Amino acid sequence: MAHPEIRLTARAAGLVACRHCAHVWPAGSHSCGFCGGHLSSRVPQSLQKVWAWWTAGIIAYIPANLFPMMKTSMLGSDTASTILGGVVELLHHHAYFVAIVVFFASVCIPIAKFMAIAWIATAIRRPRGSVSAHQLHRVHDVVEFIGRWSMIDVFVVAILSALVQFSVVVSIHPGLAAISFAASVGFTMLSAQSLDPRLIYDASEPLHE
Amino acid sequence: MNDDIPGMEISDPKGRRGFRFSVVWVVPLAAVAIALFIAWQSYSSRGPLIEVSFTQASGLVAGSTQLKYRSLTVGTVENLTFSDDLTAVIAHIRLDKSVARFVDSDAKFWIVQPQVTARGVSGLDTVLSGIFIEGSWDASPGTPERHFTGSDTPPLMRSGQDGTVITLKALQGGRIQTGAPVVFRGVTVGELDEPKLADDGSGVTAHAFIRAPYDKLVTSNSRFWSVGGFSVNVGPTGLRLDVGNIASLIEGGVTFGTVGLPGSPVGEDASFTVYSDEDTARNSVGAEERTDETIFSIVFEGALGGLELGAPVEMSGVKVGQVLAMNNVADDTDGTEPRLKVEIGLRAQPLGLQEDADETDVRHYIEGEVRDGLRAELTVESLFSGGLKIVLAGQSDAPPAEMAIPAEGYPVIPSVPVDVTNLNASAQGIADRIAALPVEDLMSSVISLIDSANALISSPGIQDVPKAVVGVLGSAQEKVDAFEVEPLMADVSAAVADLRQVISQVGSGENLQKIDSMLAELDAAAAQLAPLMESAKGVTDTVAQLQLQGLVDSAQETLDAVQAVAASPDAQALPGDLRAVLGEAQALLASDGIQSLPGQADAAVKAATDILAGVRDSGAVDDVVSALDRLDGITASIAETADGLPELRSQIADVLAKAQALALQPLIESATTTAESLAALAASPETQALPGTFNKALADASGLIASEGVQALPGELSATVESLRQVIDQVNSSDGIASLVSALERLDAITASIEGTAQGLPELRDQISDLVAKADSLPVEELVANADALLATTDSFLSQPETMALPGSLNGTLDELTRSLTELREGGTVENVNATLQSAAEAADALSAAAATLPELTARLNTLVSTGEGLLNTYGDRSRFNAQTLAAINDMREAAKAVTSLARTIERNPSALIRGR
Repeated sequence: MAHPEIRLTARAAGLVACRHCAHVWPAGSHSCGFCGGHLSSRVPQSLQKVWAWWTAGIIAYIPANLFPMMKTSMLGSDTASTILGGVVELLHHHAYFVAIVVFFASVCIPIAKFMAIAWIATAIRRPRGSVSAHQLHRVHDVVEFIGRWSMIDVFVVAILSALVQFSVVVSIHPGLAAISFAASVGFTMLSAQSLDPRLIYDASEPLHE
Repeated sequence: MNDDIPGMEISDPKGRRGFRFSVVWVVPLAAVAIALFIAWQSYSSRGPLIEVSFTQASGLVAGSTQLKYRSLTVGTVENLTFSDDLTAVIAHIRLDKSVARFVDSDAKFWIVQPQVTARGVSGLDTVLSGIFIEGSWDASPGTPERHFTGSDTPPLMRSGQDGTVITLKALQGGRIQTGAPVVFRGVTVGELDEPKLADDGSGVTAHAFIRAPYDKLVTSNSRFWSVGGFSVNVGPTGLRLDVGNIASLIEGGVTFGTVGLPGSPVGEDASFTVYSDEDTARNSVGAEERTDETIFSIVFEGALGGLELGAPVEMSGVKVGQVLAMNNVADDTDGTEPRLKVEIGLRAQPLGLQEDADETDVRHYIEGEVRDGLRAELTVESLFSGGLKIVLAGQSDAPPAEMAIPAEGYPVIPSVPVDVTNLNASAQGIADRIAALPVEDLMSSVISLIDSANALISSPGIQDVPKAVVGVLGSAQEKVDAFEVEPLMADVSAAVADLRQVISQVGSGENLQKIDSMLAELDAAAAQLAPLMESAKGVTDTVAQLQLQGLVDSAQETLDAVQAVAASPDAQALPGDLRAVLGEAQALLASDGIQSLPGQADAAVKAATDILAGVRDSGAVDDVVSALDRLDGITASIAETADGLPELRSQIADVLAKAQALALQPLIESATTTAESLAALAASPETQALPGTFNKALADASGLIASEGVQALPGELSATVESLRQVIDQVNSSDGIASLVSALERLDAITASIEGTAQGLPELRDQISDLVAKADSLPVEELVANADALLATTDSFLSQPETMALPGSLNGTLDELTRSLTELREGGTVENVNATLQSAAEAADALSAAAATLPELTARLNTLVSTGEGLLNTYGDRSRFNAQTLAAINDMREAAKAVTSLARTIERNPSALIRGR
């Protein structure tokens, strides 16, 4: 891995690839001669975008946990449950599997994603030490893959809200948390997408040697 | 490659010159901005948090229980905590900002729960939605208050209801219950709050809310009384049974009316007394509260009976107060004259002072009046009652005096000395009035009344009354038997259940007490009738003699009685009679004796027969016969003895002849003595008197049997069956027959012993014969000696005091028998029997008198029964109430069925819910 030949990148080769048509142009060209797209060797302000989306995701995640996810009104009595409250309730009803699934999908994965993105974004800025670029890539892949699955709560609420509408008898409405949770997941996905993976090996390349 | 490096420089991380912020940062900033905005908005829009403490958190749920005002949600319970001392539950309620400024210190909070009362069902909406807290406050913003005490029950006056809250006071809380209606002319115009005991325990106070516009009806002249829903009244007009509406039947309630002129409207803090009934309420003049009374003392010289607690204190004919206490004054200032100290309470309003006048005003007023000559005076309350009253009146000739205000006690109003002549003067007036009264006519009518009463009582029809009563009862029993008991019992038990509720609602039993006291009064009224005759008699006497003092007294009594008579003798007598009749009728109904009157008569006759049979069976006659037989035997044996005597004599003559040669002198003397003794025995007046005495005894017995009393027995027995029984019992228990029998037995024994003695005589004679024969054949000296000894023995036997006393004691026994028989006839038993029969006859008379009022009683009872029947019908099988209740229950059952079937359908086919089928 330490061979410079192997470390040859597009940028090192003086090339810049079009992000739209993947056509390679010499470095310095500003627009793709093929599709007319804007050319840049790296995504501009990639890390900034990552952090910005990440922050927005964190902000949206707070109300997602504080406010009720789902409001159930049954025969005139309203019940509102937050994500963690729902998990605890499920545990009380001895629905351990569902509780674990919900807890995993709605609590563990978002938090893990935040942590993973933050870790990647900070690790990129540092010289490669203990963490290999390969590991970072892998983590990034996992984060990108798993991002869409953490919407499971929102899906459940959305489906229930659409189906269970029996006026006075029983009806389910999405709470504020559903919206903010969806926003939070969206922001995290955007945050993961904003990360230019090429920065990983940029960072691992000692430029001044 | 190298010329690419400058291009690389652009994106070199170390190159900071081209650094600019990414547009994406707008997103988190916007998120923060939105969050802040929302936070600010929710913070600024949310109302204050108030704390309402409840004793129970029954059904309150943090986060969902709502606070409603006029059925609109204006807040939510956010949290439920205990108070610091765990004595209450505090509900932290987040108020809507729109109403927050109205929630000031007058706000009230209560928990709305479904309630089912006699007046209806409320709060049903909470069954589905769960309970909620309802708040009530006025429409004017005030200083916000954050701590409230909620109640578990709705407050008396809710928001949106106009009206007046007044305070009601009562002695007993039984008829004042939470939620009980306030009724005006049968229309519910308000309701009562929870009654509370007064601080000093002297009564019960409760707030009552009178809804607008009816609150205008409550004026200063309004009187409140409790409605029991159920009242029984016995009076001259008959028996009256009033039944109110069901709610008041179960919960009680109060009603009110205006006495006299319409008074001025009352404010919020008006206070009224709840009287026990309408009459009491209407007769009360002003609010009779101890607190409203100003207390004064009066000392009267000279003791006079007749002043009672509660006696009126009048001024210019208006009752201004009452006597509160009386006691003697133990002081040494005035010799022997007894002094009576009376405490009276005067009320400001009837005195003519302002209604809000306090004690000081009243005292000043009385002080001024006393200076102007006001004195207290004891006078007769009315012509017809012996009671006294106190009159405050100006005395123009009174010596000037001041109202004494002692250091302890109450101000003393000077009094006019009790003027006996004054009382006498009024007594004279009474006497004059009496003289003017047609006493003669009264007496004659009384006499004729008594005569006709006598005639009535002695009429044969009355004799048949018991039989008729038995017949009536029998037919009534038949009817009752013929009646279908089971449905009746069901109805009755239902009615009894209702009545039990009613009675439990009646609680303190005020009505019962009323009835009781009423009966007591009626009793007293009836008792007054008793001295009527004596009084009437005394009147004529005293009027004739014209002794003033006695005249006063008897006139007083007479007038009482005459008043009673004049009012309406029948009416006055009626309650007493009614009561007595009720008691007797009850006793009659209760006693099996009435049922078995003929049986008793039969038994009585049978007992009489038994007695006669006992007399026969006991062998009294036989005893007499056998006694006579024995007497006969005695006589026969005596005759036999006498027959044997010549023989004896001849033998003796032989003996004597033989003995003549001997020294016979002592023998002869002995024989002579013996013969003399025998002669003396036979000739003794006791023995002579024996048959006579016995004769007399038998004659007495005959006389006893033939005596009028005994002869009259059957007649009297037939007259009063019940007394016959007593007589027979007494006769049975008396010793007459027994002693007769025992006397005869004793006589029998006596005759038996005499017979034994007489039987021994031939033997004796034989022995004597033998002896004489032996003597004949024996050596003479020995014989003489033996004969001598024998005769001496015989003599000694005959001259023994016991033998001598034998006829005497027989005589005595017969005398005793005679005496007891005479006694039986003249002295005790028959008299007693007659007296018993007399009292029995009196009892029968009373029964007759009672029977005379029977038809009226029956009519009354019929009325009562029909009224009760009407009442029962109200709750009866086919009554409207029942029908409605059944219909309501059926409706509820239908509803429940519908809900059940709906639930089943959903259970069976949940998709129907989704598909809407």
